[in-house]
Amino acid sequence: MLKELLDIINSIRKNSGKQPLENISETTNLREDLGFDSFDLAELEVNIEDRFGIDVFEKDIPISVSDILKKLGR
Amino acid sequence: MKFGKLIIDGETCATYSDLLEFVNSAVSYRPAMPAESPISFIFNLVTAIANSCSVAVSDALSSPSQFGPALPNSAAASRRINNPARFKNTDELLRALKLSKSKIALFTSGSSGKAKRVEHSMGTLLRGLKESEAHSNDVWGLAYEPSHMAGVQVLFQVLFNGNAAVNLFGKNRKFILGAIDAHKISHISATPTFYRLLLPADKPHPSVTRATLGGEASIPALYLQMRKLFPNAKITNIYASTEFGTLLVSDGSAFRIPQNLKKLIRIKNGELQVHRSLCGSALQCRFDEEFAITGDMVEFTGSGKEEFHFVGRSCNIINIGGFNVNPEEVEEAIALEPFVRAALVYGRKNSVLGNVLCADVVLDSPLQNAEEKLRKSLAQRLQQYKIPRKFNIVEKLPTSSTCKIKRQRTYC
Repeated sequence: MLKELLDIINSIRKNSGKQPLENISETTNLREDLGFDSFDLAELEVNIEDRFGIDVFEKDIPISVSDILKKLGR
Repeated sequence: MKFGKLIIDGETCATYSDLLEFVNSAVSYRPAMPAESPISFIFNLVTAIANSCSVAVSDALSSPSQFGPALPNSAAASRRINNPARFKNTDELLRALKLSKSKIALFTSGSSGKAKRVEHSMGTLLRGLKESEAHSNDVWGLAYEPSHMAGVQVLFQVLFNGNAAVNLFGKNRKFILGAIDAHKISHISATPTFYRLLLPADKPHPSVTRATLGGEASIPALYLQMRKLFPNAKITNIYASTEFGTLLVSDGSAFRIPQNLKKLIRIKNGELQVHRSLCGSALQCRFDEEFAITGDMVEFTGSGKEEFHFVGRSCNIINIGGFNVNPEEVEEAIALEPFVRAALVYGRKNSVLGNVLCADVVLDSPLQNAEEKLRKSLAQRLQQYKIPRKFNIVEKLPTSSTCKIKRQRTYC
C-alpha cells in the first residue's frame, strides 16, 4: 500500500518538476514534507480515487500519509 | 490616518513612505503589469492611477498578447509619464487615486476561449470599499492573486484605510497559520479552497475577526469548521466577479438581492443576471435585454423566492479552486502540439478544488512520454491553473450525432 502511494506521490512530484522520493513513512506530512499545494493535493485525490475507488479527501483534507492509509482502511 | 507598514511579503516589508517615495520619483510606469510580487505590483498600479494613466493587470504567467492592442505587447515595457504628479504626503496621494481618470483593465476567462478584457474606472473598483476609522487597525491577509479582481479590491481596502497586508498567496498551511498569529491578521478574504486547506483546526486563531469567502460555491460544513479555526470571526460570503466587482454579501451560504439592487439584479431561468449599468466595460459580455448573462446558476432555498445559493455555472467555464478556466482555450493550446489529433478538456468533481481539470487526448500515432511532453509545452503557454492535472490518452473522443465533440454541459 505504501509503495503504491509512493508511486502516486512521485508521479505528482515528477509533473511538478520535483525529484522522486525513495521512500515515505506514515508520518510524512503531505504539505510540509512533500511541499504539496492545493493543485498537487487535488491530483493526489484523483489518482488515489482512480486506483482505490475511494475519495479520501471527501470529509476533510488528510494531513499525513497515515490519514490516507486510515481512510483506505489499511 | 497613521501610515506604517503597507505590504509584508516574507522577509520583505514595504511601508507607505516607500510607496510615496516611489510614486514621487517615478517618471515612467509599466502599462501592462504582471503580478510578479505584490510589492512591485501595487507600487506600479498606484503610480499609474495617481497619474491617471491606463493600466492592464494580469497573472504573472499571462501571455503578453492578452493585454490587447491598445497597450505595448511586452509586459516588461515601460511608458513615460507626462508631467508626473508629485504628492506632499500619503493622504494627498490617496485623494488623487480616488479622483483618478485611469482605466484599469483586468482579465477573466471568456466564453469564446480567449481571455476577456474588462475595463474599470476607479469608481466601479471602489464600489465595495469600506473606509472608516473603525477599519484603521485592520491587518489583512492577502490570499488572492493581487492582479485578480478580488486581489485588487483587497489592496484598495488596505490602502484607503492605511492598513498593513501580509502576503499569503501561494504559501503553505504552516506559513499561513504562523503568519496569522505573528502579524495578528484580522481580516482574510479568500476562496473556500484556501480555507479548506487550513483545516483541520489544530488550535484557534483569535486575531481573525472577519473571514470572507468568495470565488466558488461554498458549503455550510465549511462554515462550521472555520468557526473552530477563527472563533472570533464574523464569517461572510461574497459574490463578486471581474466584470461587476462586489455585488452580494451574505452571513451564510444563502444570498438575497438587497433592496437597492432589486431592479438591477435578477434571476432568470435559474441564472443570475446583472444590469448593464453595474458592469465594467466588458466588450465580450453577452446580454439578455439590458442584463448581462453571468453564467452563475442559483437555487432558491426554503419556500420563498428571496434567498438563494450558487450551485455552479451554466456555461463551459470551469471553476478550479476559484480560478475560472475555459476548456476551449486549453484544448487549443493542446492542439498546437503536432502529435495531437484532438483533445477534450473538462472538469471532474474534486474534494480539494471543487473541480480538477482533466484532458482526454487523441494522438496522431503512439508516442512515448506524450503526457510529459504535453505538460512541458503547456507550462510555456498557460498559467499553472489551466494545465490539466489528469491526462488520458484515448483512441477517440465522444461525438454527437452531428459528429461534433460532445462536451457535457453539467454545472461545474
